[in-house]
Amino acid sequence: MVTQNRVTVDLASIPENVGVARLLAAMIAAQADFTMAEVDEVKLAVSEAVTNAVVHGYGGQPGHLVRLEIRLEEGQLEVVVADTGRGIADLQLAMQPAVSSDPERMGLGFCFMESHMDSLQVDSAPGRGTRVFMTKRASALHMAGASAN
Amino acid sequence: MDDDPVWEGEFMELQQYGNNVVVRLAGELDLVAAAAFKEAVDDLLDRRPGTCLYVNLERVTFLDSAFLGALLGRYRRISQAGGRMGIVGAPGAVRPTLELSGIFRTMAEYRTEQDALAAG
Repeated sequence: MVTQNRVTVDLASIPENVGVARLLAAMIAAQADFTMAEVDEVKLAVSEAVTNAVVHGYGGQPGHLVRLEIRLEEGQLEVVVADTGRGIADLQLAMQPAVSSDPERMGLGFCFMESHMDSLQVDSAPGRGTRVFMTKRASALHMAGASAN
Repeated sequence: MDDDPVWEGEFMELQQYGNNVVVRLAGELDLVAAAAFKEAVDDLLDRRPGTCLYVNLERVTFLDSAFLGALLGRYRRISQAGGRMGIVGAPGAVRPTLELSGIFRTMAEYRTEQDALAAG
């Protein structure tokens, strides 16, 4: 089991790289004490965040970069997904479920991130890009911590 | 397209049974798959507006809200044209995501393709 790791990649803003991001996140989570279900949750949260960057941050335009940082520190996974795209004008509104600027989309990205990770922080402003910071701790370590207290 | 599967790509296959079409999907379904699914189904609906569509997810290992959006968008179009759409064989790996999205409140679910085609 790996307890410390760090990966930082710049992904071209193309749809195919959403799957690359999932794969990286899943591999790092699997190195630690995350269950398969927890790895699936991390994959979904990362898929949503990187998709948002590609589709909303950069309007589906290739030629830009989405930064993915994954850090594993004593069983806690920290994920940052950052873009330098258009940013979110009304963050509170954007984070409500079923709110989307596109009728083809369900507006569930942030909802899935929030429900599948232990914490979610989003920093965004129009013209200043978006930075999503998420954490998740392996449940085995949650329980070990609780019984030690 | 009469009864023989029409391969659309490595993760999607469409098969026609009269006015019913079964779309069999596999692997991880995200915005890449969503675009291909939307294009294939919209092309089909342009030619046959009253089609009933059943989406077989038995071999799907992951799906996210981008793909869910494509499902829902096709459902809206099919419903407006008087057709039906359902989901077949949702596996354990993706069931929590489907349930969290509320999609089963909108779309019928069937255990097998035979069940879906018999209901039509």
